[in-house]
Amino acid sequence: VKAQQIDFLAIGASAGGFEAIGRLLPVLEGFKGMVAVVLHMPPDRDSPLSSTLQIRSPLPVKEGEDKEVMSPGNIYMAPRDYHMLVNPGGELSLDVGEPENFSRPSIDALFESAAFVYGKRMAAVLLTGANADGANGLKVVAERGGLTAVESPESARFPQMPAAALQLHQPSAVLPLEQLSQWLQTELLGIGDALER
Amino acid sequence: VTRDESTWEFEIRLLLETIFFRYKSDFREYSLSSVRRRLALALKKLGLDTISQLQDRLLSDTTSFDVVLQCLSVPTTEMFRDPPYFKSLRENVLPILATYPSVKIWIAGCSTGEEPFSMAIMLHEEGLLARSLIYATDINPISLRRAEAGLLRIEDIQKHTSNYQKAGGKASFSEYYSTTEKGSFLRQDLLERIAFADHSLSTDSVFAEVHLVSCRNVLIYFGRSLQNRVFDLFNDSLSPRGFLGIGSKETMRFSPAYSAFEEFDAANRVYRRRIA
Repeated sequence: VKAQQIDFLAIGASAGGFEAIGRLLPVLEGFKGMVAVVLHMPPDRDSPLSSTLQIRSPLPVKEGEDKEVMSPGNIYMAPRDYHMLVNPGGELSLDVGEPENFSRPSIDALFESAAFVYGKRMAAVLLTGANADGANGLKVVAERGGLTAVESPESARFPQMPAAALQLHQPSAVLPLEQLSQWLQTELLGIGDALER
Repeated sequence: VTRDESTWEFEIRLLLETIFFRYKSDFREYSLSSVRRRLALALKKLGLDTISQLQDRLLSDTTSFDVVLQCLSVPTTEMFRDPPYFKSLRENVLPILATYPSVKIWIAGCSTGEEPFSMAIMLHEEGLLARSLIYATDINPISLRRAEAGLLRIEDIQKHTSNYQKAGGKASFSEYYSTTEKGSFLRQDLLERIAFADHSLSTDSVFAEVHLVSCRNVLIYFGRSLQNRVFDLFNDSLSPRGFLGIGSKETMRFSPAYSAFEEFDAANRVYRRRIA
């Protein structure tokens, strides 16, 4: 049974994140909200992310465009070398301002801007990574009433990013990827939870 | 939308109104999420906690506006940023401009001058510089002063050089600047062909007819209605069959002015005015 209605899900991941996101996406089947993703990519990799992740995703995946209004049931990826922010009304806005936590796109930039728009109607999930991006953003999401979840450092392929987030903030859930997927399914779709109890 | 979720939005809108009335700088149609991010930086620099404190400060202390303006202006870029864009201008646009008796180019939102510097070098290498004029405009007086001096950051020169080569540079980048004890400076004969001016895309109008407008990674900081205004302004500033280049993640597609243009090089975001 869902505690709060989640209209917007933000996912952040860095090193090892491509595989982790690929494993998380299948649980989004049937989600009626909007999803935005920041995935750090090494500068030498130039693969079109959205089409590669599409293979694993039940929802359409596309690169977020500047001033594009997100529509429900879609996944928007931050483009390479731009921050992706959310404006009121669910409008995406790109930004080439200075990197945050040595990262552009930055997970903090997405999480924070979305927290100001969606408040308690959002959830933010932070996965594997080897830097400290996303920690502050997660804290802002929680301060504004949103749900937060972190992949447990012990099970993450790169523990530094989840660990850094846990130093700053105690999220709603800290779980290995598989349980995290189930948790997400429960929170987003209200399924799974009733059976377990 | 609950009250809690939108209070920040009202506070920021009120602050932008204050800035407009007090200082005549118009950020009211800027993209709100970027403005919020940049104002957070301004708060930190001024040692303030809230937007309403900043509101009070701006009314009483004009020097604090300089800090806010620096934060709200887009930070500087590199020379030949996105080399394929400059390569496309060099290979596809400049040969057409070369058939005109004189060439006028407008770099809108030039920041500290890296883009007009790049353009001057290309025009020089294509033999067009002597009959070209580059207008380079921005709203930030500190950036403009720096640009007018032709100053290059020493730590950026390696990046400039590599971009220059990727963009189809025909010489050695080191030919175009000299280093003194005060820093590295763009060559004077290149700098002379650039006219720097204070111009706001939010509030100012057409000032010249030009053959090419280049405005890159500026429009993303604007809301849609201001973007539309600016595209109209560019349309009105361009000569018949004039060119417009924008940033690699910017698009004209949602703007009413789009119908007046054709996609000249879609991959590099170069548009060309249609015959009216």
